[in-house]
Amino acid sequence: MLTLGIETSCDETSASVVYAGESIRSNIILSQADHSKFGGVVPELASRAHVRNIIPIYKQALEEAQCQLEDIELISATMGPGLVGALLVGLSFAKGLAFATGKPFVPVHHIEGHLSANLLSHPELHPHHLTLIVSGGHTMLVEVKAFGEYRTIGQTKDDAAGEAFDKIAKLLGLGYPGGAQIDKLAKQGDPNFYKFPRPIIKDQSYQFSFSGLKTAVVLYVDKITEKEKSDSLPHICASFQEAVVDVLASKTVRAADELGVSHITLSGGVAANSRLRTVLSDRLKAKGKKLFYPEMSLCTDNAAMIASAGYYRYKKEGPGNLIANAFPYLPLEQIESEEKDT
Amino acid sequence: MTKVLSITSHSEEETLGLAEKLGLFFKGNDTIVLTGPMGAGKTAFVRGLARALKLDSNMVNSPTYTIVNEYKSGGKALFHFDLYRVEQLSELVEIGWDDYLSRDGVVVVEWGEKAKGYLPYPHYQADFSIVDETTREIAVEVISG
Repeated sequence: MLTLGIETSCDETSASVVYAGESIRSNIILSQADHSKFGGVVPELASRAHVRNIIPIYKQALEEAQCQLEDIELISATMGPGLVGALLVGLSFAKGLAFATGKPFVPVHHIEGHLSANLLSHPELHPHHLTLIVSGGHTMLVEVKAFGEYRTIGQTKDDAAGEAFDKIAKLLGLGYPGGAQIDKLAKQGDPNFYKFPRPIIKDQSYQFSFSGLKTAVVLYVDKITEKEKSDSLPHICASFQEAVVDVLASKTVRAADELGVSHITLSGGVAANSRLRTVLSDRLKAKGKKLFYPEMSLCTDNAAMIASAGYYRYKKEGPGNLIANAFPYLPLEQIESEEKDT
Repeated sequence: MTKVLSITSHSEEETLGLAEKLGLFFKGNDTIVLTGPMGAGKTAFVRGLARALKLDSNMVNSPTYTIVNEYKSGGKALFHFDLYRVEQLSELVEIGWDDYLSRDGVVVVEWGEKAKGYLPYPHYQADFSIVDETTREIAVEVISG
């Protein structure tokens, strides 16, 4: 079954064609960082940018997949969570397409999309696993019992991990995207140069908090001179990154132990962080467990993961309703009820 | 501009408690602007407001990426904006700023100084400043235009 996926929950406008939930025919992603292709400047956050880009991106996705709209058998789009004005663009486009062609439509939860990114890259993944979703907007630990059966066991009480990376990168005067810049600089730095706090690492819950760590870095940078700052930049990056990674890895390993799962997945933009991959992978390996993460292009927001999740959801429960709405706030456990309510 | 009060908070929990007390005074369409540097306690303040409105404060997290979070329960609503990433005021219009202001709910805006000219009058403004690791000065004013 050839599925078209549309994702516009935040800054990326993306369209993708995926066959049978697992074979990617095309995955076109236009992010705010890369706007030269369609001419002009994409305003940082505007839904209007999605409006302007959605049709060219959709056409390119079909072209690259070497298919026509007639060949598409299922249409899916992100319904939330996300920026509501942005979500509505992709959702309305997809619903319009489905309505005009009579093809089945499935609304997709953005986080279920991230979960599916690992299904795309690793078909051998055990259906019962633990996943850590870390991005600019999310930091969550979710127990996946099977596709569609989720239990959120922990999430951030304040800032998301990726948000902390971006804000600290901006504070340190690094470029965009912040996470990648810190990762790069940290490679030349000493992670033990300064011991930043590991917020609620000892706490028995699986909640996260990165606001206090962010404040600690702000206060530290305030205290040192500009010269000290530029001299020790790689060390500051490495020490900050180590604190984030330590918290994420500690809680993930403990949760994996408690749940007795041997497969653990990582997804979201921060899944691209090399230190997180290494530390988490090593600590899990020591316990006889295995870490999976998607290929780079599937870590950040993309429509292939939405097409894949849409396909599995369609197989599970058939087509969704065309009056599906966009939800800025949408707990993973509410997927089924929201679909029924709308 | 009328200065209402100036408070020293010694912990995140205290900032939260202060917001919880202030929150009892806010009504349906009130707008509260929060200004001050990163790490000063703006998101903690919003969590306190949520408590005052009898909303689940665990739902409150930073809307830096989504720009706005909506918390609703039992007829009460809190619209939590974070304009940290907003660079042009036209972007505010596009995310439905005017719609939010006219809806029945308390609007709280982190980095709200960026919305100057788009804010309703009167509105409240809470300025946060960092004194040391745990101490924060919070000055609350009513801004009547």
